[in-house]
Amino acid sequence: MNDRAALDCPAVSNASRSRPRTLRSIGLLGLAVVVGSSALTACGGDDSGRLTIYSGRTKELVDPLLQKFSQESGIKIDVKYGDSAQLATLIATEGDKSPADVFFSQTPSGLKFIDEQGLLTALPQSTLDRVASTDRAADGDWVATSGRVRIVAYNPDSVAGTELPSGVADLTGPAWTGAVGISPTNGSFIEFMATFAAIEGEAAAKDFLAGLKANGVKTYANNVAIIDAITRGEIKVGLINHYYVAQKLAAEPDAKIAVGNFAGNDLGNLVLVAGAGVLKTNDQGDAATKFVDFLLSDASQQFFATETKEYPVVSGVAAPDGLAAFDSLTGPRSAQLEVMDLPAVQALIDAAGLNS
Amino acid sequence: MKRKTAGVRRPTLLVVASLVALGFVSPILWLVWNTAPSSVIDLFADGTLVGPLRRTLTVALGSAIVAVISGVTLAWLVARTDLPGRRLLAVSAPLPMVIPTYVGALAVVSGFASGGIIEQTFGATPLPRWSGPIPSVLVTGLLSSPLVYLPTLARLGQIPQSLHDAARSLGRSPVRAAITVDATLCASPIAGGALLVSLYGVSEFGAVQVFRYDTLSRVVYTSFESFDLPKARAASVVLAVIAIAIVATERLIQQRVTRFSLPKGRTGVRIPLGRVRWPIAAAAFTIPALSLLAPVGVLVFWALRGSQSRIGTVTDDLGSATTSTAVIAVSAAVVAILVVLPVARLTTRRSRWATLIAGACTVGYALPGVVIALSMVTLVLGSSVLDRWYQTMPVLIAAYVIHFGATAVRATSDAMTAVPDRVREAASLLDASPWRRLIKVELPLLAPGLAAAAGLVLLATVKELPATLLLAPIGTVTLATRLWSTWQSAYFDEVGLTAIVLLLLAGALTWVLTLRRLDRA
Repeated sequence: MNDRAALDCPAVSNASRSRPRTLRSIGLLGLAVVVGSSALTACGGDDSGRLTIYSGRTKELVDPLLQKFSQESGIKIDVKYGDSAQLATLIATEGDKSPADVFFSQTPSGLKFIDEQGLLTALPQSTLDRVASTDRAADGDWVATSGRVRIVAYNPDSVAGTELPSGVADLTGPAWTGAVGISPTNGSFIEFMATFAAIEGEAAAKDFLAGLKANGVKTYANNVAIIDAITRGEIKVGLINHYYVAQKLAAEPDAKIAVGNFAGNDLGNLVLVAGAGVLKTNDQGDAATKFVDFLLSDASQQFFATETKEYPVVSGVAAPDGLAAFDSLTGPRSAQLEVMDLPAVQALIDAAGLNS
Repeated sequence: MKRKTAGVRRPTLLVVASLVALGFVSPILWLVWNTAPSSVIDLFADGTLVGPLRRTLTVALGSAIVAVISGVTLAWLVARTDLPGRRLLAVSAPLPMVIPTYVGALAVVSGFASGGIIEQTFGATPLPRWSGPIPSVLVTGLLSSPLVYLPTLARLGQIPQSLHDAARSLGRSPVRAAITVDATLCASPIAGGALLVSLYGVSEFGAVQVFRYDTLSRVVYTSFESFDLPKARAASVVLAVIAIAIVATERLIQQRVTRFSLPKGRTGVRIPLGRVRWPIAAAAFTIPALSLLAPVGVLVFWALRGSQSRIGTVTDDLGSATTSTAVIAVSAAVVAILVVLPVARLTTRRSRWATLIAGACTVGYALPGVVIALSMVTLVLGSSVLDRWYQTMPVLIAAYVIHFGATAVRATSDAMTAVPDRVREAASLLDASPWRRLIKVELPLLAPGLAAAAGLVLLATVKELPATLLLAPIGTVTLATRLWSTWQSAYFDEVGLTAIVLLLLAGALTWVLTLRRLDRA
């Protein structure tokens, strides 16, 4: 290998020759980065005079509504979209330096979490009074903006609507062995189980989960996967939120899927809500409350009914086609719960072996 | 004399590299600092974490094996043979990395599972229900195989013909000579790529979630969803410890791998495959077909099926999402390379410090993005100097670099090692300034390795989601956030469209930034 030095020396001159091209492209890239980044940063603009909304509801669902608010009120808005639980954690992590003024959450648990951290301020009574007392936080710090209902979706080819059980707990029985689908990591399912534990007690919740497991329940990554499995005939029924069925049927009118309810005030009929609250870090004064009021206006409530197929929470606004009125729903109301101990329920779900 | 010529003056380089490493580990240090040791012990006390720990190790090891097999095979066929369509293969091989694992995994389920698209369309026998370790490992391994493919391809491009000729003169056939020489000289980048895949497997969450395989990263995710922050942090600390163990294991392997500095000379040996080249091409193309076309095909199927009507509206932001994704990804790639250069330079010296510093820059890759992002939030907002930069581009880019810098460190230091000391020595005789020597002599020789490093950071960045959602300037939409958002809203036609734009953009960028340069080398 002694001749390696001889091989190497030409390499030096080769390298020098190709230098300008390499250096120039590095330089150009660097320039592009600087220009591009500053252009993007400039788009962010400064925060003064703009209402900052953290939204756990997706852009596809609520952007038209938020733009309408901005146009009608003349209030400029900045919106950060994300997962409700992660945005709630972000707000808690940011603490008193949070740029957020309003939190618009997909889930009650996200609002409950930041409320427990003392990060919300009380809403005016006139805002709270737009909804029933069962659909707002007991301390008046947040309010429901639309409703979702837990249902049992079924495949009408394999189950007749009349065969459905009267209570969600019956799904642990022999008639439903290997026929039930759940998504144990889905936020709504965890909230459902937390309500179960709060109302019936932890022991009952534990027994229910163990019963499902023993009965061969099938677990899925999310609600869409459950819908998919029902229409494919892999399972007969699944525990999900009502609007997934509406979405599926809107896309595929002859899909093998239908909505079933349990009887009366059964836990399986739990009413979950999306909601909004004003943060202590709000520096835009009344604009934040105006936004919450806008979400509770008749026109916005109508938007939820027709566009996202959710239940309006303001009385007098009609529910989506084919659904009963919101105040006639008989299931327990999530907003009312004092306690929603998600970590404890998560531990129960893990211990039941539903995640492995 | 030898010491002095080894490069930029020792203390300066060591100080610079240490500062870089400190930046890389700061979120991890913050995490450890804010986690009570008792909470980590509690996790194991009731035995609930033993299973997730075992499954995490299974995914880490299994996906590394899958990725090495597919990545090395493809790189070698592209670089060393006259395979028909090898240009197309070269471009398509790195692309699976931009498909989010949750998309890949759910596509597999809805395509191949019982009652799925394949059964509906072709009446084929239903496959068993897809869950557990095998699909988790396959999807994670195939989608992360570019971490092996690109560094290996870069190294193959650096190996001069003279070495192959030497092996042949010892009486070996062209194929055997090539395999012997290439296997020996590529061992280091392959081990490095396997390391990165393992770390990715540790952090990976999408596929294991869909396939219901309860790993530690899923524990972190579900703990965040249920607001159990102490548990999320404790599980993240365990992930960091596993990452350190994996990095240490790889160091041990690397010590057994002989390092060669490559002589300069004409590169690009090609072996004619003869009549078997068509069957081999068919076999080779099944890898990108499986990992690229299968998910995209299912998305297109959904798109066609679900386009008649839908709930809500789709905002017209595909164009701006494409622009910001391109700017962000290229920025992150360039910044990452510049930042890790001193670290990589230091690793050409085999000192304990160099090993420690390079390792420190690698661990962050094994942490879920949301953990890095939340640590950055606290660090940035907690400093009265940095807080004005919160939710701006520089902080977002910094988060990407910390998270994905590992990929750049490995590829860059492999490239550095391949520059012969004698070149440096010869250069130092001609030119006194070490920095000028770095720019004039070493950088051009490093070009293929740097290009591979840039490509890896770029591919990781374009699909990054959690840190983007939390840290991006408010209002920023990227292709990854759009993919997630349309997915959450069940707008599958938009999911399909966004995924296709993401693939095209990633293909174009990797071509410009990486593959074109590897080809020239």
